[in-house]
Amino acid sequence: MANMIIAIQTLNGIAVAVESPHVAQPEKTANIVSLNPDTVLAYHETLPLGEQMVEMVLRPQVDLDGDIFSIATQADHLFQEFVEQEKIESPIGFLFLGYTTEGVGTMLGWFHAGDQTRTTRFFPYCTSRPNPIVGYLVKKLYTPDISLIKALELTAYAMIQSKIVLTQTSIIECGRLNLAAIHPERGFFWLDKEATESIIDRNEWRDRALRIRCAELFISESE
Amino acid sequence: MTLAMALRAYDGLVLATDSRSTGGPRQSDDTSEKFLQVNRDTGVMTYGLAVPGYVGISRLVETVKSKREELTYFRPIADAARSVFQTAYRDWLSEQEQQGREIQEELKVGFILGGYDSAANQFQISHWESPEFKERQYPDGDLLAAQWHTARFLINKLFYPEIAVAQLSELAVFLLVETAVTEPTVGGPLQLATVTLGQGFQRLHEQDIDEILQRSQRRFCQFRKILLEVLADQEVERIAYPTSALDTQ
Repeated sequence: MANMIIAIQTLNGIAVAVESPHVAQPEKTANIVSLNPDTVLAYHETLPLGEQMVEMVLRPQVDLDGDIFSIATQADHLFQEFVEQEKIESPIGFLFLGYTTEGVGTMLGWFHAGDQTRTTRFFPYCTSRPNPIVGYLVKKLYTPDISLIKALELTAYAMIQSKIVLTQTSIIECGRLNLAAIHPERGFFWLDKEATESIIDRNEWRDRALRIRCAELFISESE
Repeated sequence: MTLAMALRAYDGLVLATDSRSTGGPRQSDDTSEKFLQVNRDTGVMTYGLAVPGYVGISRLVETVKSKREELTYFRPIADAARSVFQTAYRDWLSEQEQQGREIQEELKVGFILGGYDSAANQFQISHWESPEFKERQYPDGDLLAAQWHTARFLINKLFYPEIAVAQLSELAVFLLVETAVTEPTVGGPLQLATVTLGQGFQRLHEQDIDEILQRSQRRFCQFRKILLEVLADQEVERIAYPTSALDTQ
């Protein structure tokens, strides 16, 4: 199952929404791991393979005390070697999210599908797979001074709307929308259930308000 | 890619598409003709691979013209369309193979037929896509094809079932422009047609579409304003989010 991950960078942290609807892996840490106080790694597409690569390749061989660039550079090389040696055909993707030693937020992606591997740097948002709904909403609603809380609401809204549009209702059925943040001082933390539900509730109000306020958008003034 | 839509109003259909073709020798081109009138009540649209797409819709028009007595109503036209589209695609494919060009699997061509079926007294939408060209009918709903995701998100917020063709044409322009601003494969002059019981298939002239675009300017700004206000709505915050659970200080 291809889990969706959305992250948005802000001035006071990185907002992350993670879909973990896999019934067999219900824990919310199933596809996101903390590497050090400033860096997390989210993996998607083939979750057991991601877990295997984190435990067998990344943790034993990479110096996790380094900053996000150093970790991602080492991982890029080791992951590449691993998929070649093991002849991995299954798609597997990783997103490195975190802060450099200078305190600059950064998001890097590594994706492998069959014979193709690519590394990408993202700003101001990234998604585990190209997602036009997220792209549209970020284009409309993102401003460079967006706060962390607004970015979290935006990631949650984008995640739920994507699921509705793509008619993948698993996230709603399983109730497993998880929100997290990486703060420059506090590091990585999950939002608790109450805070997550509060954001989901607020987005429900928002969506209704949006529909109500748009109801007369296509009626001309003369009508 | 492109955005191709057959939308259902209370009193008819709106067929709409952009005119961008991508992937050809010039990478991006805004001159692609994706739309033709088949008879009084029916129009055909294509998306995806530009060459077999245009050949397919042209051949369908020729076929209907040459067999007017057999192909009068929507259903016989739709039944004939599959083999016309499939042949156009296969001809193009074998030409590419002869020239040693490899065609990537994800490159597709699609066709949408929309019109009034006077035998059944219903507006009909049918859809075919390579490589199978199996017909899919949309007896009640609408159809969005190719780069459809943003338009579907917007339709979920903006469409209402009582909408009339005139307003739906404006909504179609809105969807095309909003998609074009975030999708580089959608763009160029818009192509739009309506199908109603009284008027049959009517293609909108460039000037008519320009007028809708002008009228829409206020709407684009209003919509963005609504989105921004809704995201920052203090009232919503007070009602649904009373505690400061996210205080990161």
